[in-house]
Amino acid sequence: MPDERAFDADLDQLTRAATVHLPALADLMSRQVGALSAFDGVAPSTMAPNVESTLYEFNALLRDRATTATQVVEETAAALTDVAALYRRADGRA
Amino acid sequence: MTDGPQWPDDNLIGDLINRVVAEVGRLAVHGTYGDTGAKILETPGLLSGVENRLWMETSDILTLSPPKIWDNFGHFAEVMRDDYQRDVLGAFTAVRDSLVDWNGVAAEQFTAHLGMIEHFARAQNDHLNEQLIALASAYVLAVQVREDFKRLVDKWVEVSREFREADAERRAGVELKIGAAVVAAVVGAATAGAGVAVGLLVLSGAATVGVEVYTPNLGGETPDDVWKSFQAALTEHRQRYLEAVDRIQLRLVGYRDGVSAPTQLFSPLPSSVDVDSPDFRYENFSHRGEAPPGFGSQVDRRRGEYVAEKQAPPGLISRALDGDPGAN
Repeated sequence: MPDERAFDADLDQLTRAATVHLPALADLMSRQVGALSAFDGVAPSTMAPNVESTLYEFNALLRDRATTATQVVEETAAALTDVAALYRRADGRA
Repeated sequence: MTDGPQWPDDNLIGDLINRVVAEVGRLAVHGTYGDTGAKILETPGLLSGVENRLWMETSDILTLSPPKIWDNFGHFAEVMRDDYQRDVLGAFTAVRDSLVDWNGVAAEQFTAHLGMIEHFARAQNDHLNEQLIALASAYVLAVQVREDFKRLVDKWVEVSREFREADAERRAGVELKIGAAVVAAVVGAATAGAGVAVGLLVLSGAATVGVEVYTPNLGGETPDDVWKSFQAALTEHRQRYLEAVDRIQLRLVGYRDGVSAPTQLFSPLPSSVDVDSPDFRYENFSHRGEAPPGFGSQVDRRRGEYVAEKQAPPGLISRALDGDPGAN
């Protein structure tokens, strides 16, 4: 007899990964974007030392990476959500 | 316990410059009437010249702002916390565990994709740490250069006053710390133990307690000597600060050049994991155990239907809820 309970549990787990854990991960990564976007330098407004412009460049790189990563995780969540939703439908649950 | 930056503003620097200018004025008078060979101090317009020069020289050591660095470091407080790191790790573990019982090319691609994201998250965390080390170095340097300037002024005014009062040679050293060694000490403290998460005040204390001091000599036999000793010490102080800032800059350039551009981070998910693609098959993402009878063929049959429904234009109610005025 098929082990339907394990299948049910695994499908539920897949659904939670897609709709809870991956979105949570995207949210955590987007907080880095927030912190990096808030960066406004290390020097008084009347001064512009080299170290500040390099920090801005470094910060912008990290912010762009975090932004890309957030989008990638969101897209991954959407792809897995589709798989889980299709399987739920095929299983007669949706 | 302090919950704000040391040196929240630079008003004290102005006060210190005024003290130096006032002491130079007293020295000039002493030099003139004491006939101890003052030459520089007899220059017309001396005091305004001294003040201007001091402001110019100190502006070179005020290029980093403790309160501004403090605020920017604080923006990262949330993503530095242990529970943030724990949540990230927990999310990865939960997603990875959810894929264990699924088999096939697409499931493997998902797992590999997740591995890439996890690898990215670790590298990004390392880079964030580098950013925070740079900020911490800049903060400690910004504070130390001000502390040292204050020590220098305090000691020089004391030596100069003693010289005037005794009308005799006076000499004393003042222990200062500013220099590239401060940056090295911050990096050392920030890469040990709890790292940058301990915060700026703790890092600042840990980095500067044991750092090597240098001891410029102040004072001399004449008023000119006394004044020149301050100028020489200030020049060295400024030079050592600028070298330390260059050290941070050098590290930052290395950090920046070691970061991959965002476009190189991830490969796109292949079409075999995309339900919208005809390449998606149940066999590519199938349950390792036993799915309900006929489940695979049901998935393949339902896929087209599911995709068509996903791509269908939204109904009136959805559009109205999304704020489409044409739906009302």
